[in-house]
Amino acid sequence: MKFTILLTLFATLNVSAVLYSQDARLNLSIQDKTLREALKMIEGQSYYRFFFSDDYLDLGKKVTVYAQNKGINEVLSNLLEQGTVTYKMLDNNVIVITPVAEKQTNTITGTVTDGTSSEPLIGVNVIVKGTTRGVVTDANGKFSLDVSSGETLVVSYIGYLSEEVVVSDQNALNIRLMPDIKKLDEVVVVGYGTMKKKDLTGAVASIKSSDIVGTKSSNAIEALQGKVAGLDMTQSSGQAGAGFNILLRGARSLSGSNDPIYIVDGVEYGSNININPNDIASMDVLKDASTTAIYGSKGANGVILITTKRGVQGKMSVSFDTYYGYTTPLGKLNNGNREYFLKESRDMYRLNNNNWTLTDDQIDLNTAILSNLEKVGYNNGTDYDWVKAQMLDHGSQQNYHLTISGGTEKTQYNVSLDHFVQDNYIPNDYLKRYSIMTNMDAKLSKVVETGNSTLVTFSKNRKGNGLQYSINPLCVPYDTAGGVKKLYINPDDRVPFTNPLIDLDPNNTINEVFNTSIFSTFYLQLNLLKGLTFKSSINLNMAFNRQGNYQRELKTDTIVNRVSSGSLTAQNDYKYTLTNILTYDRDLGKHHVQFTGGTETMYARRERQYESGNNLTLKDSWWYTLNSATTNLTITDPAIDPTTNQPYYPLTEESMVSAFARVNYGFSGKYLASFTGRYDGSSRLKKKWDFFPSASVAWRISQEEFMKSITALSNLKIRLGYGISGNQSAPIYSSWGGINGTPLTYEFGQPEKVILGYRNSKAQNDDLGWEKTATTNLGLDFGLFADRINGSVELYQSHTYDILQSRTLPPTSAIASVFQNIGETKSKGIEVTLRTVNVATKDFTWTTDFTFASNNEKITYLVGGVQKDEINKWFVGSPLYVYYDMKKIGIWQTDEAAEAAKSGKTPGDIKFQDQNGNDTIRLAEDRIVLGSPRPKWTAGLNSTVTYKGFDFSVFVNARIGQMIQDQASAYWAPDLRENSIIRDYWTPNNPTNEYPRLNPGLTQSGWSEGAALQYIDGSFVKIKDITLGYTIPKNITKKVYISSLRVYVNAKNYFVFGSYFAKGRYDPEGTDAKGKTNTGYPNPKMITVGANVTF
Amino acid sequence: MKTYKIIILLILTFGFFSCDKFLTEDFKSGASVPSYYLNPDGMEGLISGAYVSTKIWYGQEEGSDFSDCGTDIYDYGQQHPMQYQYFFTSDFNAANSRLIVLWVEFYRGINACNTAIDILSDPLRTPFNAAKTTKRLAEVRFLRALYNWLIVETWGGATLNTKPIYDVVTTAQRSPVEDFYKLIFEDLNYAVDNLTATDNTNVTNDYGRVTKNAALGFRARMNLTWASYTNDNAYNTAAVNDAAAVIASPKFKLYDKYSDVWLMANNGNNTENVWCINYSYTQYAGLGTSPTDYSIYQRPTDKLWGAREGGNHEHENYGTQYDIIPGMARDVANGRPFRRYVPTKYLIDCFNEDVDQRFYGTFKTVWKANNVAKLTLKWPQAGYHTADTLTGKTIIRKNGDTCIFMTKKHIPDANVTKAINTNYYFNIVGNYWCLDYDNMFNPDGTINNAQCFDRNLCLELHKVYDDGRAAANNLGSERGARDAYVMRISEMYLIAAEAAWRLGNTTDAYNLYLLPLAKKRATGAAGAAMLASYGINSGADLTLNYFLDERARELCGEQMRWFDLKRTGTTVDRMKKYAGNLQARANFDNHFVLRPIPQAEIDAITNKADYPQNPGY
Repeated sequence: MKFTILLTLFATLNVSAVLYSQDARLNLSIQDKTLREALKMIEGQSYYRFFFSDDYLDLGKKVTVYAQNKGINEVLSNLLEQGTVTYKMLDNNVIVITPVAEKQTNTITGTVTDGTSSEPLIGVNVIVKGTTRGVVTDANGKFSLDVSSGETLVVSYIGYLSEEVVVSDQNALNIRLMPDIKKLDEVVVVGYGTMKKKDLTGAVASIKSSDIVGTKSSNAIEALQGKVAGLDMTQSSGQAGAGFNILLRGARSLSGSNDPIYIVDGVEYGSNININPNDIASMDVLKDASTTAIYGSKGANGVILITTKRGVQGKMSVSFDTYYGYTTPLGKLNNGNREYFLKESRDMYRLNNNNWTLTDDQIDLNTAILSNLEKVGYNNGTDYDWVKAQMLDHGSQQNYHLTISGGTEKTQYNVSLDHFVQDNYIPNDYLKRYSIMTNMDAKLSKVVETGNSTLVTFSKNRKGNGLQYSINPLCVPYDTAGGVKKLYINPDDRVPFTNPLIDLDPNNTINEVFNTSIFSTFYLQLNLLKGLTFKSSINLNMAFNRQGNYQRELKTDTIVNRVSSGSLTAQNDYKYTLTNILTYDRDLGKHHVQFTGGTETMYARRERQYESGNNLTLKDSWWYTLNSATTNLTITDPAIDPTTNQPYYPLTEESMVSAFARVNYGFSGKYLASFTGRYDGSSRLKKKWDFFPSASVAWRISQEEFMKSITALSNLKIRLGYGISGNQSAPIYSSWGGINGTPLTYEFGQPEKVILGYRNSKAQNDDLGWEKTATTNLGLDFGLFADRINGSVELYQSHTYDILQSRTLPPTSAIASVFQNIGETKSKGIEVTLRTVNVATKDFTWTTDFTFASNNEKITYLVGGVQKDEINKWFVGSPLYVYYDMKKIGIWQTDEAAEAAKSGKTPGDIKFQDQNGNDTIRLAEDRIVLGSPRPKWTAGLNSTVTYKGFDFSVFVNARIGQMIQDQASAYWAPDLRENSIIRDYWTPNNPTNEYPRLNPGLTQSGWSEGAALQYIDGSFVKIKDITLGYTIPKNITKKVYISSLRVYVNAKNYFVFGSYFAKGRYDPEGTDAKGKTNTGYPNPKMITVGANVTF
Repeated sequence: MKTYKIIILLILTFGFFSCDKFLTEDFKSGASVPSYYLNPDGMEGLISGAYVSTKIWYGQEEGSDFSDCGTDIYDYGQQHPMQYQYFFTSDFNAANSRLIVLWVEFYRGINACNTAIDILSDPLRTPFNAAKTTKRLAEVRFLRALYNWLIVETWGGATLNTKPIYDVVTTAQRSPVEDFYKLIFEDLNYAVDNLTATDNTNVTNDYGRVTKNAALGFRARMNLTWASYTNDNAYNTAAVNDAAAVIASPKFKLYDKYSDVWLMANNGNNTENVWCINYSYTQYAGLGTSPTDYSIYQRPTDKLWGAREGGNHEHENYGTQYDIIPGMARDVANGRPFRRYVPTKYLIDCFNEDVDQRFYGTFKTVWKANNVAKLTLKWPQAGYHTADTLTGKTIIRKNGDTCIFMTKKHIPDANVTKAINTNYYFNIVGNYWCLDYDNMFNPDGTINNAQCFDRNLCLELHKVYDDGRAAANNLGSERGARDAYVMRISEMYLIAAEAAWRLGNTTDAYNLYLLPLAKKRATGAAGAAMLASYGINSGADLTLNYFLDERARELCGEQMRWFDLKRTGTTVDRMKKYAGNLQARANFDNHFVLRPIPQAEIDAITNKADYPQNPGY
């Protein structure tokens, strides 16, 4: 018990008591009572209060004291053992009993400031070395403490290097703490506990609050992009609230999920980290099996641990963070305009008439080619930009975040209120989110601590319609007559399009997700013995997700009307997780032992309902009056659950019980070893239990005596780990046999009456188990020049086996397929992390962080031992997802007509490589693996400069060697029935090898070979983020009661380099997990202005 | 501190109390097998699931592909997505993506039958009373016989499953053909013996269910089949008896007018229907609604069709492309032509259309103009004719005029002109577009691709028309309501006649069976004259070829031809002689009489050595 801290508290809280002079008289008769009872009796008789520590006071000692009208000094001198303890009476009647060694001499005061900025530091721990005495600094960085001369003060603060100051005779100390660029003593969060970074034996990457707060995203996980080597992240879509594709060290599972799991404050969370970045203290990424095995059957894809901020003891702190971002699409698609459409039309005319010598003037587009509607547009000069018409001038992103934090020694709190708004430049596409986070910690006694953290969020996410590109620029959205918006853009003989502008009216189409989630943890911690703690926590997690879709009835067109339709999906999740953890952490001489063990029990339940209907009698009540639907009223959910490939179950329940343990052992701080194991039992499987072990060792070479002479080398550690973690890829209920989910129908009688048909369609599957990944990780940590240059290199190799794969059963068994653990994949890679402190002076600092990763994944075994599975596009030796198609090598030219004819082609058609050399090119035999959406390597470079109040940082991200599938190239109708991108297509006059000829016989959808035009190198280098900030000097802000004020501007996603982008496309990062680019919702770039205020 | 430790241990271990119960799944979102079938609704659902696989064959392209088409009576049409399979080259192989669909669905049907048979045979598990148990058991045993017949005649001795499968099975065995027929007869005997004359005859509730007559009729067909293979007269006798029993039933009557058999008005109460697959226009899931149902067995480059959303689809499959002819527009009455099949010269030649009602009852020969308003072609227009004598003549004057005429007759060449850039012929005397016998076929008897406009135009099988659909074109209107007749009463006459002939009882064959049928089929009821025109003056004139000709006339397009050729051992001879394309005539050999076992089956089994492919594939 740090009673000195208590004293300070009492002082600040102004506990008033009747002043009792030292000569107050006591009457006591104490016989053979314990010292504790004796002191209690004195307290009962007087206003005196005792403060002491039982570490040095033997309270159980029996004492006998008789006192008649005696002064307190006399009583105490009899009561307390002379020579070992002494006491001091403070002026508020508090009597402090201390060991006699602690000579009270003088009260020292001091100020602690930041060594670089000279700003006072609040909440710094100042402790007398070797004692439990200490204080924390106040809001001005000041402290005062009773010390004796010759004692040493230990001054420590998170993020700063600790200082030790020997007290001499001075009364005032000015202590400057230097920011901790040396991260070895940094604490990292690992599974079910924390460790010092220097004690780590596995591969863990940590991102601290300072790197997280600047993230401007609906999903805080973006903070990790480019900053964790081996974590490959891309933003899939510009849609408000869109998520990320995330792979840690590549993909390993063929059918199951490859997403890492997210653990927020010790409990598993969904993948949408809808927590404000300001509320996050750290994110730690567990990369290898020696660290993930403690998460057992869930750990194989990596674990991302998110720790939220908690209150710290000290004065209440109020801070407010806000920003406004201005968003526009990154890039512009080179979509066809009037000029291009007319050029194509004239070439189509030449093609149809087989006369390529006709000049433009000789072609009258009014007599052929153009449809009647297009002729109108052609003759009055129409050049309508449909893409522009479907977008707003700009979008915006705003955030308002208020944090109130503080606490006493017994109770700390951190409460925040957040409002996040993302308004897309795609109309009716927005996300509005409100959240409240409350973290509370209380020490009930020396033994018992308790607390709670709760995150409540609700959000409304409207989804706008994706941009359409294929409407031709000679058409306008209005009837020529009265300017009435047409429902269909129907250039008579061409494909009719629904007018996309119709649905820009927010009443005509509504697609809305309303989400409420509550994530709340309560814990109780018992500090049982020195180093031994027991923590029990329960987490309740509820998420209520409602998706509504509505289309209003439209009768604005004489040709086709649109009926109203509505649908409602309600998905409710309930989950509880009960965790008990026992931790023992002791230094025993040169031995350091840390044991963590515990159990976890989880139950999750999801209920899902669906209803939909058309032709709603009650107009405009969205999806809320579906029982007024006159047609297609249904409760059958048409959506397919991607994990089961089945319609969603109306109810899924799942439970899991686990026991886990980890032992860390260190000798002399040089030799480290760690062993973990987890035993998981799951309801999903018939073979319910499985075990996941790991072991790792590390050697801190730099601690060896023989290394001490190499002074430039401040740290050198080599780590080796091996472990097995699992992947819960078996969908719920996949071990059950069952009947077909969608009923078959057979009719009997006249008139026909249906009897729904059911029969065995799923086999009972008793052998299902987890996928497992065994990883070997070799790591090297190094630091040079007092860690001015530090970093790590990881080499790893992982082998995933028992991969869940759908096995096709013999059709004679009447059951189509069954999940079995059969496939195997392997991956290996290298990761480099480097941080340099280039300059560190009082006014000027410059640091650089660099990450590099290269991962190579491949399939090594498929069911039945086959080398290829064309249906799933799986090939032994290739990455898990590849593009498998014919390889375009050019365009058949006029002089190659004879050769082209062998494959039924004519000049101007795409020329594919004949892979099997049989002189004909056929889809069935000439396809090869063309490439994969996985990058060859990724890198991130973050450089930060501070000068006085200014801070400036640039973040560059590179993703190189991936092939992507360009959707814009798919917007191509060889028959000229739709508009497309501007492209260099073949004509007899333009013998290009880029794009094939126009072809009136091919429609866009019916042209399978056109896919070959989509496979494109998607490599890019991006200046992802540029920030310039200025912290206004304190002496100015103090006048308006602001302790700190920083303003900043930020440019996000502004500069992109790469061949794909240069072609006239949107953000090359904007692809789905399979590399398909997103042109419907192009990714944004954003200029932001913001402010961080602390009061 | 000991107390603490004890508490901790208690808390730590608390989580493991009643662990197994905590980890037990309760699958409320679905039904597990077989408990679902143990209630009456579940069992009715299972039986419905046993019937439903018939919809992959009857009234569907997948079935007609391997029954009528690729025989002596039908060849592929222009739009058939897998034309190559009718060339009988090495491309017709185990990877065939349509055979796999049939194979899959037949075995699913059989497993449903086996599941139902297993439960219904157990008095402790059947959810029905004894009478209903027997009736339903007879139905599913009939269905199992039907599926096994389709399997054994398509692939030979394949896998004979007799027990329900609930678990993961990765092996399969082949069984001899004899074992198939043994089980087929056991099943049919049970059905015949246990169904009563009134079982399932309530039209309102039971139309489409298996009846005693259906069982008898199908047993007659099986008896004749097995007799054809074995020459065992016991089966011929049984065939006569079974067929005669069905003929004797007062429920059936041959129509006087052959075309009435195919009137949509008679659908549902057809007096010639012994048993049919009951179709309606309503959208039901039917089969194959999930893309993963069959696609997992196929290569991505395969042309997948699968059974589509219920309904009889033959009205499309046999349609000819009348709507490319000027003056015609596609409408419901004329149908949506998918141009899958084209009749062979042999089939056309079978008919003596002057005395046999069945030619015009079977084929559509005349299309009436329905689109003259948009008929932009008027003589003369550049590019449409070369003969100047036609100048100024309107092609077709008004809707309702004959626009297209296809005929077995020969139209004098002088009367016909061919428009430039098209393959259509115009009869300048009759004033209609025409396709005559000379242009339909090459001199060697194969189909004349060029003159039939690449097999887009042909005599259209009118047996399958369906003019009650809602729209000419949209997907929903592909569903036809015509019931697919598995057996008609006329087949019973032909079975009895052939079996009697095989027994040497030619008089009965002629008098009792062929003549009564001929009387109904001949123009003006002149049955004997019609038979005489086909060379049959008495029972003594009967030959196997006569029976095959007669069966072609009576049953073409009704998914029987492959089986008739196969059981009579005439497949190779007739394909060499009559197939609609020269490649088929050149390539067809005996190994094609059995279809290849689908590769997906062989790929999926672990005991590949036990499962030889049919010879030649």
